[in-house]
Amino acid sequence: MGQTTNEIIQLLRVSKTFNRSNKAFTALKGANLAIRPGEMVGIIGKSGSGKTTLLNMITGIDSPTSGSIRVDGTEISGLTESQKAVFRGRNIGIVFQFFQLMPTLTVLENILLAMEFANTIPMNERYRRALDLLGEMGVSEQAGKLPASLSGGEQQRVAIARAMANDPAIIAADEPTGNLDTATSGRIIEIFNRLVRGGKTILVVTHQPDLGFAFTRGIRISDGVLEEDTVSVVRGIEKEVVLDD
Amino acid sequence: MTRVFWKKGLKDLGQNPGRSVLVVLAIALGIFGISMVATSYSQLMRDIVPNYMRTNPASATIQTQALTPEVIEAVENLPSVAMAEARQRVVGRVQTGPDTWKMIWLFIVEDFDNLKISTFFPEEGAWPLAWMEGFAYGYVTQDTLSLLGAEVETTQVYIDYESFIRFHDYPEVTDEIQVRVPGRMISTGFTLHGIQFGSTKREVPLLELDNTAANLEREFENAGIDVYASWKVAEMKKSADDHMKVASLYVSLMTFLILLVGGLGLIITMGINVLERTREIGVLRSIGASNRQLYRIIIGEGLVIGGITWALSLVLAVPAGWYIGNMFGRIFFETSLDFAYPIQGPFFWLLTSLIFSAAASFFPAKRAARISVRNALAYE
Repeated sequence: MGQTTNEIIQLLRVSKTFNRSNKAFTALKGANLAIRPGEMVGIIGKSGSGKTTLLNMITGIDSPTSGSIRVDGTEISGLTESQKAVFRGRNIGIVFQFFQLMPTLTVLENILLAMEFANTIPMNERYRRALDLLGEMGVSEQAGKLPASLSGGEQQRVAIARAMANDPAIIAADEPTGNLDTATSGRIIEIFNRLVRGGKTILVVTHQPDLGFAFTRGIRISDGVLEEDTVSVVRGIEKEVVLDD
Repeated sequence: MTRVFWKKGLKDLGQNPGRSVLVVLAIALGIFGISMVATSYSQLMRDIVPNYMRTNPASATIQTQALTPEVIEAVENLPSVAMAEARQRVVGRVQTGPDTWKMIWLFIVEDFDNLKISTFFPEEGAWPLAWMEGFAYGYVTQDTLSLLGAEVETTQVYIDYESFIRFHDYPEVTDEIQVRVPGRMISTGFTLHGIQFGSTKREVPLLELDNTAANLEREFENAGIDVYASWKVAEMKKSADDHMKVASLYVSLMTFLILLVGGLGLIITMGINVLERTREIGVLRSIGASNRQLYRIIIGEGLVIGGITWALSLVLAVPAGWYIGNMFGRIFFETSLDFAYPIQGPFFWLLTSLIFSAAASFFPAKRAARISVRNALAYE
């Protein structure tokens, strides 16, 4: 994997070993990776291949057994859990397969909560910004509703709006379309494409090989080893995605 | 943390209303109990202290053999005595109904309207007055009892066609002298769980009173006057205080136990909440919740519970305190007491409730902060 000076994400010889029932299992084996700003990277692999572990390393959700991880200039492997949470809140927006919205809060409040955690958006701008983000995702009419009353696609768009709440440079999505039908998946990928065009760096973990065409770059992972680093011609395929919609 | 944070705490409680209600009730019961004791105590003290002081109570009462004007004058001239006044005490039983007999203590005084020590403020109203059930004031001359202006025969007292009092047997008559030492009377306050009730003014030290009474007894004995018994107001007050303290301590202990059970309930409930919401905690961590924010969320929920319990216990404690204060008043003074609530009480209980809830939520919050984000997100 090539490395340049302006990488927003840089992994050097990152390994992760889990101890399960006194048996060591290495999920990530000396991974090297460099991602530049504005890339839309797909991390593709089968179940258990180590792709979620790789994403967890980058987002600081998990810590490496060895190696170095720099995200936006910060060595995150040296941070405490709490510091990593603060760092994530301000620099990385996370999107989950099952949306993971707070069920007792309204759609709008879910976004405001993320803003309250990071405390980077001025208080008097939060409400307006949250509504704007929901508008961008096409779900502004659902602002006052509870997540449970929304469809899966709508919930995922709300989750993306929440990931964007603090205007992070990086969006990390773990199987964001894994729980959605093809048409809705297309809408989500279209939103990601739009965010990339706006300068965001997006990492998407998926086990669906057919999504590979949507990325500017695809990284295949197998048995904890990054095997492939390909560049997709996303612009030419984008229309197909939209047509699916 | 602003609006959404508190809203989340409140809404999350509604996720499991049965459990939340049980915890709220358990803690509210404890806080209510303590608050109720404080209310009743405050009510009693507010009435007892000023009214008692208004009577210019005797510092000491000494029962002797027949008092002569010379003895009284000699006592008045003692350096440690500010004033002295003699009276007779009549103790007997009176019939207050066809089959009802009650103790009656009559103080026989020469001039009822110009008493100086231990004066009386009789209630006005229908005869027989409620407080007559315990004791009455008046004076006796030959075969006539003068009681609140009504002159009646001592053998049988008819007040109207329906109620009457009658001495059961010849009453026991004792001479006694009431003395006051110089300076203001003591007026000790009461402290219950940090709340001060009544005044703390103590212008005549208790020790000085003790010494005066002891000196008087000695001087009586030196003069050859037998002392049958003596009461010092400080002793009586201390005895009353001790009774009240024991009673309040007992009730407080019981309510603290309830509070403790409620607190354990809160710890367990918050612990279960944390366990059930492990995945949610992982998500909160993922979207940026720091340790401090996680603590705030969980302790915030505890505080919401504390706030609700406080409001509930206050609503329960005020009427219950009023009722129990009145009950004490009827038992001890044969009269209802005006309602009183210590102004600092609600703030104190609110503080107690919040501190208690925060402390009970602390350990679950600590456990939540220790959960690894990866494990939390993988939790099923």
